[in-house]
Amino acid sequence: MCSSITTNSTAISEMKRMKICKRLCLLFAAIFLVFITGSLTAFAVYADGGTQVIAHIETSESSTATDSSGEDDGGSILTGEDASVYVFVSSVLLVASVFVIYVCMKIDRSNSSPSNE
Amino acid sequence: MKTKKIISAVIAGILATTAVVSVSAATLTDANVDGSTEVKANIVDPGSVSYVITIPDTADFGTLTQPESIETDNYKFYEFSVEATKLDIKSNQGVTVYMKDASSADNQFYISQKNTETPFTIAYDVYDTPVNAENIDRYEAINTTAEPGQYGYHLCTFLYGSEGETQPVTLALNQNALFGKALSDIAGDYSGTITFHSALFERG
Repeated sequence: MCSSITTNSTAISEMKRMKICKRLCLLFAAIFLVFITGSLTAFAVYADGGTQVIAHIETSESSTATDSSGEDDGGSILTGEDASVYVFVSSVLLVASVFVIYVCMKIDRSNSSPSNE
Repeated sequence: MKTKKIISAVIAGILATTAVVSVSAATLTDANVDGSTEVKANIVDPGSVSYVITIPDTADFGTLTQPESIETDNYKFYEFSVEATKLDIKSNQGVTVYMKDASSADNQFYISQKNTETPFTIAYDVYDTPVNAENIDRYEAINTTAEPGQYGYHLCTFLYGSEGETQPVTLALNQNALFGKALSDIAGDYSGTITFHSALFERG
């Protein structure tokens, strides 16, 4: 009786552990998809032709204008470096999810192996 | 068995990610701070002629300042280069590059205020040489001296053997255009588009 109760509680905790692992893997996969979509969008931006000329005027009062050359803020365009970072991060997340799956499988096997009584 | 299928799918995803990285690395370059746009053309010819002209993706004047006086010019400059990245052409051929404003009606170059019903427009000039506040009086903009053709103003010509050469371009915007305007009316983001056109030609 005690042995049966112990076995049942062990099985329930194993099921819970597997559920947690599966949900973690799904989370990693979702984040990976978001980053990979962003990377592909950056690729599409750079496929367009022409040169966009941009500028900005602030609403606050200005001082005497200077004739300095234009500065590039680079904030509106996803650079190649940013896209590479996104792809790298998504790859790391994917590898991490694989590692989590492997660990869960190993725990599952070690717990399901018959014990010597 | 089911677990093995999951592992196989995940490994396939890793391989796909590696392929995406390769494609992105091959296409997104950092040769220019603002990125670059390749203008390509492929002409069917027994000699397999091809060329690549690199132009910038963006030209950013930054934040414009309203001058307190217009006794002197108050220019803002932006320099970039047009490069003959690849020129697989015959010895009697060359590549001509033209440029024009994508939406201008009078063949001049403008940036327009965004997200407003009555946009304020600011004109700027294009020089085919490095220009600054000290030497601008010595040069004339290509949009003030030349007559535009079907594809705009002639910028430069790359002849056979000039692969790797660059053509400097300077955009000059005189901030005196903002003098006397209500800041609340003209504040905001501005944008315009320069369209480049390349054409292969044969000499003689």
